[in-house]
Amino acid sequence: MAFIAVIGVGLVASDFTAYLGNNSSTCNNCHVMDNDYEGWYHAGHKQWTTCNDCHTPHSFIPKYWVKATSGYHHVTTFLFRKIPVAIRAKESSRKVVQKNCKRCHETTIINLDRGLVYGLDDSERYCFDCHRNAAHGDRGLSILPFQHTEKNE
Amino acid sequence: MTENSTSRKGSTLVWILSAIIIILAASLAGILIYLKSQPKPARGIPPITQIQSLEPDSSKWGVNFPNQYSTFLLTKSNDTRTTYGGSEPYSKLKADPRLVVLFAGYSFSIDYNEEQGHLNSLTDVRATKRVNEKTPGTCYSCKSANNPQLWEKMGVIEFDKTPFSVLGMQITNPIGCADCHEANSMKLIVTNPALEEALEAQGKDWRSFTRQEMRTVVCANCHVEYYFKGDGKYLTFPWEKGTKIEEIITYYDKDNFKDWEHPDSGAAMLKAQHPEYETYTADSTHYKAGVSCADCHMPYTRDGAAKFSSHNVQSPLLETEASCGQCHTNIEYVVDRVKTIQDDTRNIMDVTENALIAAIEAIKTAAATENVDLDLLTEARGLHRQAQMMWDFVAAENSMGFHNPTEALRILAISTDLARQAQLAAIQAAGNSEIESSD
Repeated sequence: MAFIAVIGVGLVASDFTAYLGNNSSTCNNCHVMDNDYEGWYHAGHKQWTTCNDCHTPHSFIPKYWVKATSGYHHVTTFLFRKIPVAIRAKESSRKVVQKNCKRCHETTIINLDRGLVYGLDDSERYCFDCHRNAAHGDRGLSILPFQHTEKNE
Repeated sequence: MTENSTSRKGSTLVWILSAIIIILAASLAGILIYLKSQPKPARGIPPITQIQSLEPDSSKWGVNFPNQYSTFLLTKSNDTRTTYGGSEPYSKLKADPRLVVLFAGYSFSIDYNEEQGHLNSLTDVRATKRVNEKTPGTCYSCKSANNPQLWEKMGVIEFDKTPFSVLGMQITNPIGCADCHEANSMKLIVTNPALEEALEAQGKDWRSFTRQEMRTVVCANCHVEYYFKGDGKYLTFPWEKGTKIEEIITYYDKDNFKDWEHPDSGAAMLKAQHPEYETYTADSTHYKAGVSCADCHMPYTRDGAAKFSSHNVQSPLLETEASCGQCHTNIEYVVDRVKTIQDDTRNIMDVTENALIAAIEAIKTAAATENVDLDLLTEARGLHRQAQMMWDFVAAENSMGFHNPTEALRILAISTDLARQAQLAAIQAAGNSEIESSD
């Protein structure tokens, strides 16, 4: 009992609990996310989505499984200085994003799957293979020397 | 024997456990000390110079932010005219001569030009014929990046009391970085004390606003309806009762405030300034969708690999791809919608202006009639005051209705009705038999 209390207090005090939530500023704790965060902040998807809406699954268990595994991956990469120069989504992450594109844009996709606009082969491709700028705008660097959050801090 | 071995086993266990705990604690402390001794990593692009708090000279800030600053410099020359606005300093009086009648007896009937970009603020305020030797320093409140420093140094009361020409000697910079940003943190801040007080009067504190809210609120440092209160000409936003036009007029009525007296109608008139913030935030469709002023007027742009908010603040119609295209996919369609909305607003505004001029003429004729009913005449003048302020709230606002199409047409409809009521009351005051027999 005391053990659980100590762990609980520790999690809140170290702000670990932030990682369980959906605030996009949390993902931008790491500097490497500055460009992605600012790109998202100034693009049209901001009004409707946070990072998690696209980058994690939506049912409870898969969501926290992905949060746990990618969290572990991020921490080890960070600790051992193995951050790649160009960060690219893994295949598993791309699948998550693709599912989430479909989750919201289902009615648009119904037409596509029937082959009205695209050929049959295209149904296997990812939305963002073509719509590269949809969520983060043009690719580019945020040139700010400081971190912005949704709060004006 | 058995007892001995158990106690020895127990003590070994305690020793092992203690050692583990000590090793773990030591390594934890070691990690913490190591992390603490690491140099603090710079976030993003490290700044080249430190900017002094409230620094009025924007070129100094520009050293750290060449992209933002170089686009800001474009506001000096971005003088393209759009169908209903833009930044070319054309004469509004020549474009619509009815304004000369509507503002008769007031300086706006002599000189009323379209405003230019931010960097021209000082040139424009010093060139306008509306300014004379009696003009208070208050007129500089929205024109210079020197203001935040001067407000701190001399206080707002003194700033507003000082004559325009005297205060002008301390004012050297046009609108700039210090008007919206805190030095170094570059956080968006409210700098105009009048805005801070107006928000306070509504029980709001801008320090609790989100970044997205601030991207609209900093524009309200200036792009609002305001007046000079009392003999000290103290800059005040009339928001105590709310920011809708009816609430603003109620506020002015209670304060018995007038900007000038109309020489033809004899009404105590109000002049609207540029209520962009009030209009936009009156539940317009873009505002309700969470869009800020900066999203359209300062779109996020790319120069080489760098992405930043353009500081060439201008009409979004001049860069629809960047401004509208972030959210709307069919740009041709939305630009056409803007045209429809603005054409409609302009057409209805024509109707309103004609009604106002008819009211002014009717009151003038009635006032010159013998045995005029003074009660009805006073009523007609009151209606003229209200009608014209409502029309002006849309006319002086810089978007030809687009910032809030339904609100603009709502206000113009009521204004037209009030103007015609004023005309009717004036005709009745004059005792026109035709009107009386018709009821």
